Amino acid sequence: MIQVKQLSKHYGNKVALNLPELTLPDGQCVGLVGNNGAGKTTFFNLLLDLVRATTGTINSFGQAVHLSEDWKLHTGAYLDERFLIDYLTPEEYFSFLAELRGQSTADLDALLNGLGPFFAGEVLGTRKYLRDLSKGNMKKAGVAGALIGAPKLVVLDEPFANLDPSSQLGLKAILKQLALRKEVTILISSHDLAHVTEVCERILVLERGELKKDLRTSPETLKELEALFTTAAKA
Amino acid sequence: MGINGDHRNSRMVNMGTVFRRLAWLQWNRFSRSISFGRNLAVDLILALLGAMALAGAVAAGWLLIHLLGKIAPSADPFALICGAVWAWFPAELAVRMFFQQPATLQVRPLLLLPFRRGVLVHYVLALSLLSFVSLFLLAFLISLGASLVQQGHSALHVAGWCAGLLFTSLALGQLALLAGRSTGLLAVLLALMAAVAGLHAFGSIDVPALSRQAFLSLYAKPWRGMVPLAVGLLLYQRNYNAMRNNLWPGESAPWQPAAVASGAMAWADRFGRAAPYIRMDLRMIWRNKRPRSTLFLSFIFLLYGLLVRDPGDSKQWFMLVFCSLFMTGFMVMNFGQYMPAWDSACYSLLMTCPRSFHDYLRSKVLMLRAGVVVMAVLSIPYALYDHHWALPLLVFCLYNLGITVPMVLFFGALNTSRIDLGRSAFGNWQGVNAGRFLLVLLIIAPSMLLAFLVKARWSVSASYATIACLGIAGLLAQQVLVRWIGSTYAARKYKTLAGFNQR
Repeated sequence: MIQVKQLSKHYGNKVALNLPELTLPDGQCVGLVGNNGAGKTTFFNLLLDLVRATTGTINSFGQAVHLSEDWKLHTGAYLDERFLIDYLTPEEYFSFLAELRGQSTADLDALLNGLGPFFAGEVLGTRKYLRDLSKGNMKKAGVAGALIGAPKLVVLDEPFANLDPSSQLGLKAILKQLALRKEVTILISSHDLAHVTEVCERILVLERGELKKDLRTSPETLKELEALFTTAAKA
Repeated sequence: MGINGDHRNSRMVNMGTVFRRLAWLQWNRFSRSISFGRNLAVDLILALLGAMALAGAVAAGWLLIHLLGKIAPSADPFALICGAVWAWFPAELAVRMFFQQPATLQVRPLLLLPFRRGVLVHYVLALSLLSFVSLFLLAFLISLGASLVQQGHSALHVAGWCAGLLFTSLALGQLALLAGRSTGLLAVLLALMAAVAGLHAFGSIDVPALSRQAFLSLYAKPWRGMVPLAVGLLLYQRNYNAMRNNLWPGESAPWQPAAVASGAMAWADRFGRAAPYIRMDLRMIWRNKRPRSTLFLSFIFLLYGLLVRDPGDSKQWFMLVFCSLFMTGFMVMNFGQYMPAWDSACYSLLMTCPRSFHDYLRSKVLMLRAGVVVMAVLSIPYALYDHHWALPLLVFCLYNLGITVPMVLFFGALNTSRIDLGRSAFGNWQGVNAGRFLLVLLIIAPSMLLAFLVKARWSVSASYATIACLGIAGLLAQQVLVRWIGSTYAARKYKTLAGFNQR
């Protein structure tokens, strides 16, 4: 469970995020949407303790992320290319993560086998360094890396961006399957409203650092979101 | 040269305008880079060194004739200079090959603009002409020429002579650019130099005499300066053609990287929880240009010991211990000062992995210790050559293992400048700041001072014993030290991340 209390992040005078109260129960699949500068990535950075909050706390797995590091044992994340080690091959990168997260080679192989269709033969066995992969394949490697170690919380920033259509469908299938098991909390951000409403059961709309809407996904959600962002564009 | 010779289409932007705009781009790229202004101290030191070097060149040019007159009163000083000019060719070639990187342009956004592609190449090549080496030489030649005229040489002939030398230097610059791209040409040049050296050694030719002859005749017939100018223009044309042919970035894409080998490095498993980091570090070194060249630079510093002519001489004792400290410790200081900046590109990932800083640092400690041992082993020839080397090398090896390694790691925690692994270390000041110089000073000065004071008060043996004891104490306290350094890293985590994220 993730609990947010009085959380805010200021950069100078600018308020990047201000969330007085938010709770994400275990096993929920949550989508974050919002225009650029809405605070999505800031929230992820705070959740992963990569930046310090100006006020308030985020509790993940029962403890404040900036005080205890136990959340690292159960969290897999891919925000951007800074989560890749670009001079490793994908295989080396995966086994590096598996080793750090205490996974056996067999566990890792099982996971990677399951991801075979998603990789579409373009990630494993290519004998290239991660820096030499295309943007899409880098993202696939990063997303796969976030799934290593049976995490109970998976955080992905813009996972659909840069992926080709087949991979987008493949990723949606993977995330839905993960969400179905109700053991893993999934937190993704996306600019693609259709994808995010299809995968997530709950949508948080951020605008200029504030939580504007908290929706339970229903067949009408996509229309509602589109209406919301259309008025935002006119305003 | 007919490059821009096609004036039929007057709508093309002319070369002068393009040069001005390109210079403006270059200046913005420099002045808006993240490192600009942040290391004001480094910039100032560099500017000061540059100014001093330039002043030195002017002074050297002016005084050279007088000095030669004092050293060898019987000989004609000008003939002596002409006889020594040859030595400058390989030196300039080497300096340019090592330190002169061809100017780079981010060319892709410029290729669609309405000017001819060749202009870009001319611009890059023109920048290479303006290198510091040329400026230095120009200052030296003008001042030397003035002193020659003052000594009564003909102004016209001196001007021709100086111009000939300058043209030669520019031609060498073009040759260095060509050789930098072609290993074949480089091999030919090296073979040529070896052949000349060989012929000279066997007495078939006399290089200084040939040099004297050639450059005295350049003075007698200044129009001969046109020869190096013509050669330079020819080489320029070659460079121009080669570079212009590389101006189609789309043709090489999609770039196919060579298949890479990937060993499991199972032997690293013995290091337990540090093993994944050790594997990562080794791959980082082998697969990236900057750490590789930094490491390579460390080996060059092994030659430092040659400065000590007679290790047994007590007057040279201070130099002896300094070299011992420096040679066994240089790799640690030079390479270790960029820890953890070597991992700046993936620091976010490392910070979300469930491992403590202690594991992370333990792998760094092991790597740096390996660096000390490797450098110590490579210094063994000195000890074999003269036994006075053996003891100082050994005790400073211990000192570096015990004290320098944790010290470097501690100061690494304060370093928050990002490093791009893909760029060479030569002439690359990214991640360098005043703190780096201070660090080297902090490591060298106290140990040197201590060694000196103990020797002055008691004896050389006592001095060695003190240094060795310090090193051993550091080794024994390593667990505690690394834990403490780890807490420093943890405390500075957000600051470090913010620094590394700035491009």
